[in-house]
Amino acid sequence: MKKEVVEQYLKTILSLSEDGKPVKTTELSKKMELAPATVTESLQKLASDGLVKYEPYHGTTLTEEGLVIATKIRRKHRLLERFLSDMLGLESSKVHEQACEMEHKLSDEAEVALCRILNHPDTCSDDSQSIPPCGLDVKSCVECKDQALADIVKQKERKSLKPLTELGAGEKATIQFIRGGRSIVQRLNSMGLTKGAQISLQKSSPFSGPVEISVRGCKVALGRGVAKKIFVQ
Amino acid sequence: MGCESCAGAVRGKSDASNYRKSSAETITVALVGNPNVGKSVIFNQLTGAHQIIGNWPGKTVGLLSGKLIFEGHDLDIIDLPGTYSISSDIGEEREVREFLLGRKPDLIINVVDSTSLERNLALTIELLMLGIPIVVCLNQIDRAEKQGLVIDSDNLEEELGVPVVPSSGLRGIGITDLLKIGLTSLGSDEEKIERRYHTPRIASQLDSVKEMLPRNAGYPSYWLAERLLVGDTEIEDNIYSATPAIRNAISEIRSALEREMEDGISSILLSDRFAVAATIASRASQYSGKQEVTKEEKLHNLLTHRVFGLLILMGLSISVFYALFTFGDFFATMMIDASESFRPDFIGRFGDPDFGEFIWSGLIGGTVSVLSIALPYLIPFFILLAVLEDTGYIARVAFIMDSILHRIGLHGKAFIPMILGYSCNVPACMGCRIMETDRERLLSIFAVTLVPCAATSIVIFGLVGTYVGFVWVVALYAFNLALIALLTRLAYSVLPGDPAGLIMEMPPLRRPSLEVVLKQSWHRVKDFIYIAIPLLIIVGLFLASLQYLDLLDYISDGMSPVTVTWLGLPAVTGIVLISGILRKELTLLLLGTVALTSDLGEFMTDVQMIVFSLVVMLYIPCVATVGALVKEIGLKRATAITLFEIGFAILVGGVAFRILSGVM
Repeated sequence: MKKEVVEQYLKTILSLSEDGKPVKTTELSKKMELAPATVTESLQKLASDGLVKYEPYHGTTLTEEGLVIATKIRRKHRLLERFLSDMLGLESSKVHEQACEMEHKLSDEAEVALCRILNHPDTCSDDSQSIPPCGLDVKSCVECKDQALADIVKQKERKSLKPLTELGAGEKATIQFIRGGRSIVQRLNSMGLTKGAQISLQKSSPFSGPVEISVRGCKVALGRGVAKKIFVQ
Repeated sequence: MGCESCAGAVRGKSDASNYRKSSAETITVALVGNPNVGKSVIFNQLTGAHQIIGNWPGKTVGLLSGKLIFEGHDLDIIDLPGTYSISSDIGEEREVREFLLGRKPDLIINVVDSTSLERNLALTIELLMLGIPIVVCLNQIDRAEKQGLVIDSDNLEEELGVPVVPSSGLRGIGITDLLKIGLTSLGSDEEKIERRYHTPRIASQLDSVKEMLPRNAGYPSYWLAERLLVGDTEIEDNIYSATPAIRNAISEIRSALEREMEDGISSILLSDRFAVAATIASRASQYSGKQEVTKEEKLHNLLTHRVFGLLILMGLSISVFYALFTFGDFFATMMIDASESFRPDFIGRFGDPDFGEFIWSGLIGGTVSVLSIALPYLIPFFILLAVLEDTGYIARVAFIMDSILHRIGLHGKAFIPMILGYSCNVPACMGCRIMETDRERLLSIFAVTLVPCAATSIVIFGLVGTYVGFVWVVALYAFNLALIALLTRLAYSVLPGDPAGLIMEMPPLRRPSLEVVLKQSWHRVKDFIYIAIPLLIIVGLFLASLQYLDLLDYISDGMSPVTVTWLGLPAVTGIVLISGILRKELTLLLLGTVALTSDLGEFMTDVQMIVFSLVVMLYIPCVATVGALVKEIGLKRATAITLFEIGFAILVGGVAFRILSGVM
């Protein structure tokens, strides 16, 4: 099943199960405008993926996992509605349909950014239904905003960093960031090349040869490739 | 940073007996320290001549251990590989950690380089968390003094809370004190003592992790708290299966710290350790007088100079090779001649001369060949290499060769085993242990097996050099270098995994110690003999029995599609090439035998000689090398490399035959 279809099912089940009762297959097929046989087949597939609990003749309920996805999609849908009507000024009759198309394509990152730019709205465009809270690990929307600001500052700082290889001989600097996989970072870390460590470039050999640095009272030789991964300020 | 809050000696809980067993008979002492701190010198001073290479079960790398009796105690001293930390699960860090936690030695002698106290103490602080009695060996104190560095060992002792013994391994100062003081701290330490040193911020977080942990978890508690905070999966599995509830609480502490410090947790903890180490080091040491450019620094700059460094390296390599070949050839010829002179007499003792020949070529021949390679070529080479290593020059070589080797997918350190390969592939394969990652090790081993060893050189010089011309010898070596570059580069792009670049400490340049050099060389020679002699005898017996049973002609005939049709060689070379598996210079000797003439120029054309030498150069690592390969990288990879090289040699040989026949 395609991601969009899965999300569509889960979203519809969520909206039909507001009363807390299991959703009947006939109900679902009517709402989604699909044949009951197709719906049954899809529900079995969703059940085997652990997203819904499907009991024939009784109905369907969302599992915890299914609920998370459905809520997320609902949140994206309602945020998009706000965006389309508030920011773009679309007619309210067209907003819902457009949001339905876009909700599946909206990344989580874009969702967070959207929420921030809309000033974290409470409800969707016709002010009837509330927008579920986001899944971020923040205590309030203020904290989310602060974090966004901090991210921007950090990105600006990152831009001012330069790789160790660009230092001149004898120049001193502080390690700010090491790029690379776990094993290289660990190896560098345990030799004393950690974030905040003071280093000075001793020697840089030509023809993309290695560099020699001094760190924590020791001399260490680094291949050009390794040295390029160490960013300093 | 307030010292009172960060440096606290903490009495462990009463689960000590559960965690460290103290044996009444033998006391196990582990030597732990950073690489290049003079640990092996201390080890040699402690153990004298009584050393054995012990294989620690499950590990391919042997740990050196030595026994000695000191003041009535039986001591078992184990030299662990040099390491900067024991936190991560890579390479020697893991090995040392598994030994310390698994074997639980009774005492750790932590060898510390006085001239770089800050970095060395970071490991000391980590070791202190283990709850194993420690004595710190403040080594190379004489060198520190020479640099104008004065270290107050009493102050250091106070800061660390464990005995500190200033010493000089090279001069034998402080060695007996190490054991004396170490043993007293052993006696007084019935209860486990764990100490931990952190900055207040980290200390409080670790304390809260420690509070959550179950008692009797089987690990030293602060160490465990740190490992769980880092998220060490292996240990997490052990702990969280019993107490799953604390997993979330600990990961919350972790993410809070990471957010606050804007860094990864393992880097945070290491930085913290370095920060504490720096504070302790700066309190305990001070510089007297000016620091000026020393002679050592001038020499270092010369050796790593972009022009002079390379010139020195080239000059040194050429003279070393010239000396080795002249010296080695002289002694090897002498030994082979001597053994040959016994041969008729020996064979005559058996009633059946064929049987006598069988025993000779099987049993005696193998041993003689090992000795005639090992003694004249290898021993001088190993001694020279050990000198270069001990002085610290090897690290400079790796530095200046890095950019060249980088082009073929290796890095500077691989130069050392490759140079070794020109004398003999066996120690060269073992030498590849200096590469850090598995991937780099495999790559450099592959490159090394393509290097023509001394025995191969004998064939090339004896055949092509004598009959075709020296230009072709040079051409063959150049072609070989190009092939090594090409194949290694290819293997580099095919092998899975991330390539690792050069990360290497520049050890200080120093005068070599004769004792260390000789011991190092002796261990290498022994390693070689253990691998090579049994294999050579077995394969030698096998080939001799083929000859005894008169099967050789059948085999040569069977191989003729390859040897005659594809390679364009005389049919008898089939059996010659097979014998070359034993040792490559045999091919030259046998060629003379099967050709039934002393002038090989009548037996083979120039093209045939070049093709033959080319095949010998590439076709198979000899049986001793295969043995070393199996030991180093396992049967499967060793077989793959061997089969590939046989196929490749035949391919290249055939193509060369066709091209050269057209040209010459």
